[in-house]
Amino acid sequence: MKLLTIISPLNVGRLLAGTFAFLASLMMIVLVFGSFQVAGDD
Amino acid sequence: MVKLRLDTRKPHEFFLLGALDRKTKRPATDTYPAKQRTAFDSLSRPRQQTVRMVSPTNAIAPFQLVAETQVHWLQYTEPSPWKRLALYFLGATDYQISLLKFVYYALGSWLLYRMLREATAATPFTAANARRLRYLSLLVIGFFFSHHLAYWLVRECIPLLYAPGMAQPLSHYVLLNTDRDSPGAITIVVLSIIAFIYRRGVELHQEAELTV
Repeated sequence: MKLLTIISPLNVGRLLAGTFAFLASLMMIVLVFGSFQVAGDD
Repeated sequence: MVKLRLDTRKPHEFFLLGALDRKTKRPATDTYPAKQRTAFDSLSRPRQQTVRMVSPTNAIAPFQLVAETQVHWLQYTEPSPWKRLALYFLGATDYQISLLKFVYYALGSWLLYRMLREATAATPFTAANARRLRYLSLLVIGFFFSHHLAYWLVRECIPLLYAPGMAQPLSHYVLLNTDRDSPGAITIVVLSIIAFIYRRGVELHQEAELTV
């Protein structure tokens, strides 16, 4: 029963939101560093 | 050097793109002047490796694995760093990343997180969440149109190159990294309907509270 409470739609949604936020922060880092590489690549 | 992923089966199509595209005439021939031979060309090179078929070679096998790829890479030297950066931020290069994707994920996850933090079993309908849900549907709509706008901007950044046997310039076949994330029309409609119903639910909830 406790497990079912943990795997509730709200908690799964929160986990998803957290995962997306983590992905977004990774993307920001890669975007910034990648842009330097792209701009300098002749 | 810029490396762009192409889908040579069909160009990307959207009802506004046709009107926005550059009106150019295809050159009469697709042939390019012969390359000047250098000492490097006369060097002997190892024979090109042929890819072995992955499917069973005998005819008894009840299946076949057929390799049929239509994805090609367009490589050319882009002298302008601004154009290179534009192609990179628009998600056309092979970095699997784009500015639009970042904004979509960042804003989407932020709205979703705030919404789920506030929504509890006791108070499922709040005015703030109705607003966030509306913003979320607007974000999805914005992403949908920006995605197609990005396609147009990419076409403007790439020089007009024609390949033999292909009807349109190669820039029309470029694939963006946001393709997989792009929401369909059904997603937009469903999300908008949910946002509308949710807002109506909040209004009814508030009215009921006032009545009590």
